[in-house]
This record gives sequence, C-alpha cells and structure tokens, in this order.
Amino acid sequence: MLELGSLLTQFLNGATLVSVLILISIGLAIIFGVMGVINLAHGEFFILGAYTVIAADVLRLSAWWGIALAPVVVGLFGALVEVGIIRFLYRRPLETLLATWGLSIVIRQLVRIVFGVGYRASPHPLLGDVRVFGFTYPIYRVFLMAVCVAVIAITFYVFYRTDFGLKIRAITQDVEMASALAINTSRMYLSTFALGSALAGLAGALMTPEITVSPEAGVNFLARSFFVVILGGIGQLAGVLGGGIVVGELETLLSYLISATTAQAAVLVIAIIIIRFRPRGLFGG
Amino acid sequence: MANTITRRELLKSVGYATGASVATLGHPAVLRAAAQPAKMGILVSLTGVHAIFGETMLHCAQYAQKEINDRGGIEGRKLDFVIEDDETDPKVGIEKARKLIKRDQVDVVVGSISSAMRNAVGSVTTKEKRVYLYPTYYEGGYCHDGVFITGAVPNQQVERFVPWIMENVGKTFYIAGSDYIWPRETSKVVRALVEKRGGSILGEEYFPWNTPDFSSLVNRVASTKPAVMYSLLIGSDSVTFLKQFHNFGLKKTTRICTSGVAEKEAAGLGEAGIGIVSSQSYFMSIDTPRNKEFVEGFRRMFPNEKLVDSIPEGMYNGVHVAALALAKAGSGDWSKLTKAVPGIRYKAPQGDIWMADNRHAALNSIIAEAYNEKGEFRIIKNFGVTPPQVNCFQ
Amino acid sequence: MLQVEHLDTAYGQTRILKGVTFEVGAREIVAILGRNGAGKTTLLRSIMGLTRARSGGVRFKGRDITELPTYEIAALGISYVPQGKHIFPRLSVAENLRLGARLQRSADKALRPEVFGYFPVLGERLSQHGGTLSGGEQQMLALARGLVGEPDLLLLDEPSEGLQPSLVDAIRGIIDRVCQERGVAALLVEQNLDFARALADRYYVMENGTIVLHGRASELADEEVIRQYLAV
Repeated sequence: MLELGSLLTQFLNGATLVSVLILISIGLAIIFGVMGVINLAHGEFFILGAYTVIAADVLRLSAWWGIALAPVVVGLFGALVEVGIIRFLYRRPLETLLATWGLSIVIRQLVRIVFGVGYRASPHPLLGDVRVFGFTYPIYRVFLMAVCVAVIAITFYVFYRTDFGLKIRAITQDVEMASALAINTSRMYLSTFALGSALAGLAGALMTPEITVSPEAGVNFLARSFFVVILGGIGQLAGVLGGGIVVGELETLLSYLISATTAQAAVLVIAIIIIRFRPRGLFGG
Repeated sequence: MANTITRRELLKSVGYATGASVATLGHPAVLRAAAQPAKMGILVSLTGVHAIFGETMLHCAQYAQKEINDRGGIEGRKLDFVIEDDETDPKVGIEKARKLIKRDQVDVVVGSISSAMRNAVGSVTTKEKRVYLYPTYYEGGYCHDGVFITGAVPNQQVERFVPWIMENVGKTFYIAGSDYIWPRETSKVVRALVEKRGGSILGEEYFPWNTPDFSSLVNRVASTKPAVMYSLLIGSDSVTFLKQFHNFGLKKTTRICTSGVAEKEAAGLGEAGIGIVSSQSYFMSIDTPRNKEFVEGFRRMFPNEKLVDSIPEGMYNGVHVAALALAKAGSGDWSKLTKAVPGIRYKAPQGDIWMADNRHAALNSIIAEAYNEKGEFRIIKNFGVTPPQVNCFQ
Repeated sequence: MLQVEHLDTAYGQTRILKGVTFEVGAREIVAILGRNGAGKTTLLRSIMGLTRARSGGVRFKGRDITELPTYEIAALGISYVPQGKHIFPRLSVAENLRLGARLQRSADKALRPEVFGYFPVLGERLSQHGGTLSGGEQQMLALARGLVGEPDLLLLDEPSEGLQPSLVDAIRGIIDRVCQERGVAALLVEQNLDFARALADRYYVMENGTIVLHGRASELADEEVIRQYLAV
C-alpha cells in the first residue's frame, strides 16, 4: 500500500516536471519554428518571470499578482527585444545565436544589479495538501499542473483553430508565400517572439515556489527544454509534448529507481539513441 | 583527550601571538616608511555561478585590508590588493593565479571557492613557490606545501554536531548531497559517528549539479520517515531541495540538519528555511563584542551587504592570517612564509582561531537554527575551537 | 492596371532585369515569354516586392507600389501563383484556401463555394494536407488559392509546367473562364507557346533581362521569330 502510494506520488512528480518542461519548451519551439531563431536567452526569460513574482512581493502585491503579471511583463520585454535586436538579424542564424547569448548575459547582469546577486526567497501562494486517491499531494503542484495543461491546451487551440495560428503555421512552412498572401510577417514575428517569451515568463513565475531564485537559475531549464525540442522534432508542436513526456517522466521515474546522476545520464543516452534512429525527432516527418 | 590537546595548543599559540606583537613594536619607524607595499593577490568568483559568494568574499577581504592599513599596515608596509575574477572556471583560475604571481609579483594569494578551483590555483602556487590561503570549508585532505586553509574540514563541522543531533533530534538519518567530493567525504564522517552511537542511516544519495526537481528524494524520505534529513547539497541545489522538502510538508516529521546551509542559502529559502539546524564555524549572530565590531564595521563600509556567512568570514580571516604571517616572515619569501603560517593565532569574528601544523586552521564548531524568513540564525550551542583532522589524500 | 517602368533588379552584382517596361490593362491577359534565365520569375518577384528593384518603378491602379512591403502589395489585390506551386504542404486544403481568401477586400474574407465550381476535386479533399495531393491537384490548389482572394490581377508563373497534357488543358480552361467571368487581369509567364497563345491578349518576349519583342497574341502565328527566342 505504501509502495503504491509512493509510486503514484512519483508519477505525479514526473507529471509536474513534464508539464513545466512543455510550457517552457513550447515557447522555444514556436520561436524557432516560425522565425528560425534559436533563443539562447529563453532561460533568462524564464528567470525574469520568477523575478516578476519577487518584484510584486517587494511592492507588497501577492504572489498571485506576480504570476498574473509575469507573462505580460516578460511578453512586453520579449517584444522590445524583437524590435530592438532580433529584427535586424532575420535569417542570420549565427548572428542571432550570438546576439541572444549576449542578451542572456545582459539580462543576468541586470537582474544582479536590480535584485542583488544572492538567492531570493519567494512567497508561497498556496501551501497545503490535497488528497489524491487517498494519498496526499501538495496542492500547489496540482494547481501548477492544471495551469500548465490549460495554457498548453490554449496554445494548441490558438495554433490549430484560429486565424492567428493559421498565419503562424503558414509562415513556418513558406514565409515568402505567406507574405504574398497579405500576411504581415514582421508583425507576426513580433507577436510570436512576445508570445514565446510570455510563456517562458509564466513558467518561471509559476515555478518560483519550487526553484532557487537566482540570476543564474535559467540554465537548469534551458538545457532541458532544448533537449525536449530536439527530441520531439523541430517544427511540430506535438513533438514538444512527446519530447517533454519522454525527458520529464523518464528522468523522474528513473531517478526513483537508480541514482539521480545515473538517471540523468541514462536519459541523455536514451535521447541520443532515439535521435540516432529518428534524426528528425520522435514526431519529425 | 581531544580537550587536553586543545588546551595545550591554545596556550602555545597565545605565546606566539604575544611574541609577535612585541616584535612588531620593536621595529624602527624609519625603516617601515621606506618599505615597498606588501602585495596580496585576491582571487574571487565575480562572475558565473559562484558570484553569489564571490562578491561578499571580496568585500570581506577589502574590509580586512582597510583594518590592516588603518592600523599602520604590515610592519609599516601598506597592504595592496591585486583583485582577479576567476569566473567560476578553474581554467581561468589557473591563468589568473599565474598572472598574479608572475606579472603582479604578489607576496601571497588568498581566495577562491570550491575544491576544483583550489586544486587548480594550488597547482600553480605550489609550483611557483608562492603561499596560498584557501578560505572555504571543504572535504579535507589537501596537503601541499604552501597551501593553507582557513575554512572548516568535516570533523570541525560534524564531530560535535552529530552527537548533538542524536541526543536532541533523533537517531535515524537520511543523507543527501551534491555529487562531488565534499559531500561524499563529509558523509563518511557522519556515517561513522552515527553508527558508532547506535543510530542508523536509512538512505544516502547524491545529485548532479543543477537538478531542477528533487521530488523523488522527497518521496523516498517521506516513505522511510527518518528523524533527521542530513543535507550536504550545496548552493542553489540546496535551496531548491529544501524549498521542495518544505512544500511537501515534510518539515513536520523530519528535521533538516546540514553543514551546507548558511545565511546566504537561508535567505533564499525564506519561510522554507525556518527550523533548519546548521553547523558552521561562523554565524553572523554570534553574540560577542568582537563579532559585533566586525559586522557593524563591515556594514558601514558596504551598506548594501545584508549577510555575511562562514565563507566570506573565512576569506576575511585568510587576509588577516596572511598579513600576520607576512609580518612574521618579513616578506613573501617561500621558505620563510611557509614556516611562518603554522602557529599564527588570530582573534576572528567567530572566536579565537589558529593555524595548526597540518596547514589547516583550528576553527570553532557552532550549531545554530534558522529562525526567521530573512535567513538569520539563532546560536544553539557554541562548542568552541575544534582542531582540524586532515588525512592527506589529495 | 499595372505599369512597369524601366525596372532594374539585381542579385548582388548580377543584374537580372535591365530596364523592363511594359503594362497590363484592365481585364487583359498578358503573356511574358522567354527562355529559362531570361528574368521572367524575377520580374514577377519584383512586382510582388519579394525581390527589391534597384531602380525604376511599378504602379498598380495608379499607385506606386515599388517600395511597399509584399503583404501590402498583395492586399491591394495582386495574387501571386508562383512557379513550383508553393502550396503549404502541412496545411489542409481548406486552410490553404482560407489563407488565399485573406486577399479579399470585402470584410468577411469568407471562402465562397463558387470556387469549387472551378475546382470540384478540391471540394472533395478539403481536410487533406496539401502535401498529400498529386502534382496536378497541387497546381489546382495553388491556382484556387490565388483566385479565392478575388484579386484584380493574377500573377501566374508557368502554371502549365510539369503537368500532363490533359491537365494543362484543364488549367488553361479554368484560367480562361475565371478571367472572363470575373473580369480579372492576368500576367502570365510561360515557356509553353501554345498555352500562352490560347490565353493571352498580348505578349512580350524577354531575353537577358530586357523586352525584345512584343505584340498581339493573334500575331504569335509568326512562329519562326518567336521560336528563335524560345529555343533552348
């Protein structure tokens, strides 16, 4: 009975990591798919979301306000970055790589200047447990999963069921033809970059109670979400789901069975084997 | 047995210090004014992951420098710093150490954090015959000529702590650490102490750097129900784990005891940190006039610095010990200075400390509990000085 | 409707168009003939703003569109059906057509069923991905996508290329009907002389980036002259 309980808990633990990983990776995948930009500052956008919660706390607003404001703040910041930097580097992958890498350093330094170099404590919006099939599980984690699933569902809806999503998918496949069909591609790039940034910011804000808030913390999630995107297959939103489930559940379940270091290495090896046999990813054509 | 040694060593060192101060007064003032400044190479991580400690370490070093120069320098020689950023990268550390010795010709090098960085820097300083002081607590066992350590080794953090835990908290332990040498070596000492006293270790595991999710560990702790969660995770991993531990509500049943959490980490934990018991050689809340003077003076010089903890205090002590040794040796000359350091005694903010013959500092063993959201600790018990036990293996 | 004046376009140092001048009148079908590499495709791209003109200008319905971004040019009522179809392979037929309908100047931008009168086969394949259609069907889709936007001017880049003869006839029939029934003007780039002759009112022949010959399509009977410019 005890064993069953901790297995269920472990499954939920994996599901939490999976849903957060997918939320972060979707932004990365959309920006890459639509604009061809590999955003090395995506992890810092995540961190900016977390610091929005900290800033709200400093301003004596509740953590809920911070979570609600984070996608707006980080989305606007993303828009600024698009207009100020990315716009000048369309279709120059190497330059965008360098520029976003430089941007990540600038953001970290700015965070250090504004919030200090140290770890910041964050307010916890929702402590307590819920009962799941007779076992207790932190209520905030359940909330976290629910929000991630909802936002991911909305993102899919926008992509596959709205005019905006149709335009984005058209640009992904043939940007010249899209503009010849009266799609304002540079405005779409702007919205896409802002949207991807907002999703990273939301993920960061949601995760503040569960992570170390420091200027350097972005890289933990950036590396994994790159993994998710590559494993799932570039250019397919569904691939992000598959990649996220493989990376997140595998890591969590394995680290329950074997040592964490071996588990993380095993996930890497399994991913490399998958990519060896499916170079375009699990869902790539 | 241990107590007798302590007392004897203590008396011997008092003698040393008195002798040194008499010698200082004896020097003619004319000679001092003419002398070149003494040069100290300060190596800290100002960028990269360890910047979180590096900045405060640098400030502590600068505060020590100010104190030394305000009191007339080293034997009348002004103390100059050459500051370098090792960028949290041992390769850079090696280059910077070489630069400090060859180009800047510093008399002594002080600083850096992590064993990897110390090994890198130490390999240069020993080869170039320049004395190096390392200020951070570590696994022990590093024995190379001219490398002196002002941070704690496992026996100093654990020897008094574990018996206290078993008496006051419980006898069943679960150990988790970052996957590198310090946690693994410290855990050996913990395990030996626990098993010797009839306690048991229910689990022991190690995690790679930057693990984002510790819920599987939390889950296992929840099902094994130990009385004590002994955490040897460090830095951000320590904070991430302890937050998640708190979020799962485990603090109600299992007490966190650790030698890897000090004020900086506790500040990042906020509410999640309350109740954590930590063993360090220094806490900011030590209630002595000496520590009060240190904290107030430091904050006057750096008003933005809220927290000092054991690593920056080790840095501060390192600069003072190096200065005392330079005074005793008269110069940065290798053979004189390596002989001068052992026996140096210093009245540190943590209490009296001295440099033992095994190149490590005899430091204080203090147990304290985090009691508020700001990361402040309340001293539970101060065991006083514990001499370092070092089994050379590195 | 469309005036192109002294248009010069270059890729880097290589001049592709060297002072091209011609016009397309309202409801008129004009064919541009020429060999591979004569600059025909570049001409269409320059009109759409996909390749920027170095000098000279393009006017559409009296407005200078030389410097306008592509999406604005399209929105003025120019529909571009490029060579090699360029349908969106991973969008459904319906989605491809919905994107085409964006060019409509009416507010609703709805996909009207009339279009399936011209392309009955597409009506049966609405939910299929564009990439899964046969070559002929893809060409139908590209054409249909160009038409649902109700443009005033169609730019057609070799619509008959690579199609079997029966399909070439079908395509020609559709273009002819659409232009007649809806009063759409068309600029048709072609290497297929018979195809061009059957559709166009007037023709221009391009060689090395300049117009070397032009006239009424009915005069295209003098094949010797023409073949000289089209022979490979």
